[in-house]
Amino acid sequence: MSGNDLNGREAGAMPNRSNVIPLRPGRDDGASELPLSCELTEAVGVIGRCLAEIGLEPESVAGFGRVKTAPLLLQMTAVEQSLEKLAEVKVTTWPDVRWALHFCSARIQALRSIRASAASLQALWTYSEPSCVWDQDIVFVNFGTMSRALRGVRDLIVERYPQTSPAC
Amino acid sequence: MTPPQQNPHDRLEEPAPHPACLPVLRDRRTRLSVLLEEIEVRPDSLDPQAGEVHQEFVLGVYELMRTEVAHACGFRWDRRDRRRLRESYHACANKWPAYREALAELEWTRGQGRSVVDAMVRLEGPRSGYISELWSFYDEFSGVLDTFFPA
Repeated sequence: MSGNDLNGREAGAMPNRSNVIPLRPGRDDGASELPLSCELTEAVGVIGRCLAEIGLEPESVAGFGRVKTAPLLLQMTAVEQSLEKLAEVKVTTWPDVRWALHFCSARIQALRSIRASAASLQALWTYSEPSCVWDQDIVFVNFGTMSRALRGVRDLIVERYPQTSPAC
Repeated sequence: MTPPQQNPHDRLEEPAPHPACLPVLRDRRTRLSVLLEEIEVRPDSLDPQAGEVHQEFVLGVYELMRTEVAHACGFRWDRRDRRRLRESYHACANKWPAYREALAELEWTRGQGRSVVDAMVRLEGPRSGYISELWSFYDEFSGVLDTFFPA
């Protein structure tokens, strides 16, 4: 037996790290054990439906009547409940601290904007008959802020955890 | 025949036994390090998590350091160094009430539907004071881990 044979056999007996194939290659590290996976997926879904409903809203405040806005308010309530469930995303426990910090800020911002939008709509119905321009402006500004905040939350989730996207 | 006496200097050379809480402390150190880097860029991003951060990364960490780590290190952990950690903890803890009150004031103002500009301006001082002491506390407890339990 030549020295080369021996070396070759010995080398073959040793694990060659460059040949090791990782299990489930190409998967996101956090994908398989993503905490609150269902809640995050649900949030992406309800936010998408709420944004779609906002897109159907009238250009004029005259259309913000109780009947016409009822479906939107229902979607807003669903988003609010969904975001409340995600209060468990904390920097102290979430696997990705950086993401948790940004998500928490975005979540709080979204909840505030939902409540502000609902309150301004309520004020419009309650006090303004006919509604004044100031109240109408507040409603539009609040709904614009809410749309941006909801998109922010949805994008944060989907960009970091693409498996929560309805397309997946 | 009496057993040979161990020289105290020899005992100083022995590594400290690892306390059970070491993985927790290492995890909190990593998290706090990332957090401090992020809030350096956007200090206001700490606001929604400030209570959690204070509870877990300041009170929680100090309690473990004061009890389990102190017990594991024993005489190896110099009294002067222990005092430095204690002082940095107290400095951080003393900054917390003002920050918490400013946060509560901002929330209250928001709830009233009034302009939050003044409350946000008033929050900046207590927040930056707290973050500054949080850095010092992180440096101190991180230094203790590096000294006695290097990775």
